[in-house]
Amino acid sequence: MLNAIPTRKSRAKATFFIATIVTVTFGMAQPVWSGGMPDEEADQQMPSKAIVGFVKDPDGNIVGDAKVVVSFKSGSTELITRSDPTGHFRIPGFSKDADASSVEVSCSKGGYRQTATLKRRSVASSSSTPIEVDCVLSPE
Amino acid sequence: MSVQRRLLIVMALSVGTLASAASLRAEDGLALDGLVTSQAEGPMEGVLVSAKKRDSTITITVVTDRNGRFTFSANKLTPGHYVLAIRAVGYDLAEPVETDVVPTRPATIDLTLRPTEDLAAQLTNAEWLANFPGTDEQKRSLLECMSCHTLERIARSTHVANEWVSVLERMAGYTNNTTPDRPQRRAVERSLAPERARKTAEYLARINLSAGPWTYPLKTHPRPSGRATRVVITEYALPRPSIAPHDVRVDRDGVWYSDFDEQFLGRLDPATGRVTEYPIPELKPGFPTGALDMEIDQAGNFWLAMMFQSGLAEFDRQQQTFRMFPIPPELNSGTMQQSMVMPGHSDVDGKVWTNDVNRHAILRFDLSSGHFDVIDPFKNVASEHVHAPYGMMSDAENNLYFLDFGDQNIGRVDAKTLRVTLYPTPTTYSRPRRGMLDAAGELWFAEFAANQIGMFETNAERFHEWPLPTAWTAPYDVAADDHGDVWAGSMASDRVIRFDRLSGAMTEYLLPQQTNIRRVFVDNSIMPVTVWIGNNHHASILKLEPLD
Repeated sequence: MLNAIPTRKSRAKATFFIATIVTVTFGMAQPVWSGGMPDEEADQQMPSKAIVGFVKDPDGNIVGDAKVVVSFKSGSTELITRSDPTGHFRIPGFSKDADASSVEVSCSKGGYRQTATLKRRSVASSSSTPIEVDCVLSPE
Repeated sequence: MSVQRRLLIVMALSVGTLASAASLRAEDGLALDGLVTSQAEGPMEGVLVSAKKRDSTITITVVTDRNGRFTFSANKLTPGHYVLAIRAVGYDLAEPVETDVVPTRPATIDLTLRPTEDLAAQLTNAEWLANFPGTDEQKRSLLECMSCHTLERIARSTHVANEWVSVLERMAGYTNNTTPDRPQRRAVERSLAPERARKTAEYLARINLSAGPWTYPLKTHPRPSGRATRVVITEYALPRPSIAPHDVRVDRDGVWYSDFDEQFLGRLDPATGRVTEYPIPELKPGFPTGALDMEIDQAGNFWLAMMFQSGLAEFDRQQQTFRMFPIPPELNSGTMQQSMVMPGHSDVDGKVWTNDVNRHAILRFDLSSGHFDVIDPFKNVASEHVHAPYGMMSDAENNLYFLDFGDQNIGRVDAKTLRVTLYPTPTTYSRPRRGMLDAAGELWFAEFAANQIGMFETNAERFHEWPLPTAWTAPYDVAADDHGDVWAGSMASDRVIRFDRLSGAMTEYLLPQQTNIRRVFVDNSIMPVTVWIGNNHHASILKLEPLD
């Protein structure tokens, strides 16, 4: 975690200059002098949770190359990925405040229909423990 | 067969070869050719030979073939007095070479190379990154340094860790549109967290000259070979060293470019090398100047993202005047920065997309009302890394696709509902930077940190990724041409990469000098296509003409 504190410079006297002292947080792998990167990052370097799981059929066989859509109960952003040849999928970053109950997962593939999602409730839930959700597809 | 008869045949063949060579030279309009050799290698393949006419701003470069031969055709070298230069890592010209090109007959000049006395001065950023000791994560922290200067500058420094901390503090205060030639200070200074600065400072003190000579060998990448030698490169020097061409675009009126440092839109006449500059009004006097993204709308007008000047500029091609669209005061601040603009389908709904770098948000500008919508595409989506909407494309309905340069997503914003969909790239922390969306819905993009070319099928929602052949290429942009080839530009290796989709082959064309490539523009109007790029740090524009 990196906190950078901007200081005012008198050179900019424009009236629309409304920046005040802002705590700046930058990503671990991106230095503050990063080109094209945000100047100020408020509350960004929070630990994040990945969402991971498998797409399976009802017998427990993996289903690769299925479309997986992850969304929040609050908020309109959707994240879309596909299961890999081992049936696994991983969405890298979610809010640390998200938990299994606030996340919706759906999956689809030609010749199948979704019949269930299985959420695993982590016992030792830390802010970086992934949320695990499996998605079940049944052959049509 | 008698000896005499054999000799006769050999002589006849020789005469035939000579005759056909001579007629080839005449038919091809050859101006200058020669052989490049060194004591160590004999005839050398993949040596770039550049010819610059006295008092001209245009330099023509060709590459020696597998026999060490180079050829300039007469349509490239008009008669006159030329100074020759070479690029072959590890070598210099044994002595300065100048020659006259005359209209009547081709000139021949053989070049002798000797080992260079200063190999470090010839290394690309990609070579430095490969040579530096350290982990990939440590090296990745240097990628952003290349926005403004070479890594040779770091390697040759003598700062110890303590000094590096203050150097890093100072660097943090420069804008990204800074070069050593024309540094620009940020209006709002930034300072570093001590822990982070210390870590980076200690690493930099490990790879520079602070504790004596470099402890690592200076290895070099191979010279071009095979297909990569069949190319002609034309470099047009711009009138001032402080011009930093960022985006280039070619049309009937010439080669247009955005200037990353100064407040101009530029236009180069490729026939004469003449440059016309159109001054862009300032939106925030006293703030850093320069524009980044340059795009075209359906009416043929250019739009520029005005960086720290905070807003958009529209250039009316007919009137040759600018309309300026500042960010309104309620959204504006000392750190406000627009790096991208996408007006490509603004005719559909009267909306132009841009970004707010500081808020890592998307803005959508309504042309009729002047209102800016603010869209936070990462509202619920945290990351180990800082998100940063960067490269932008629009589809026929003016839906937006954007690249999350800070992390690893391709985003889509629905034009009607403003709903956001994020598609993480298969490779973790790929940092997709810029690219293009073609008519078939294929989105080609550069994975800056993953060293890959990426393609996202927007209709099927599927990714494809292809690793680049050279480590630390750090591709900035990717453009697909109309004939099945895909072109990428490197910020680090001084190379343009050609990717043949059918065969999967990659060809790396080396450029004649240190070239910090940003936007890659493909001119499809001729076959083979030509590729245009700006040399962001050396005030020139380059045209790459593959010969096959």
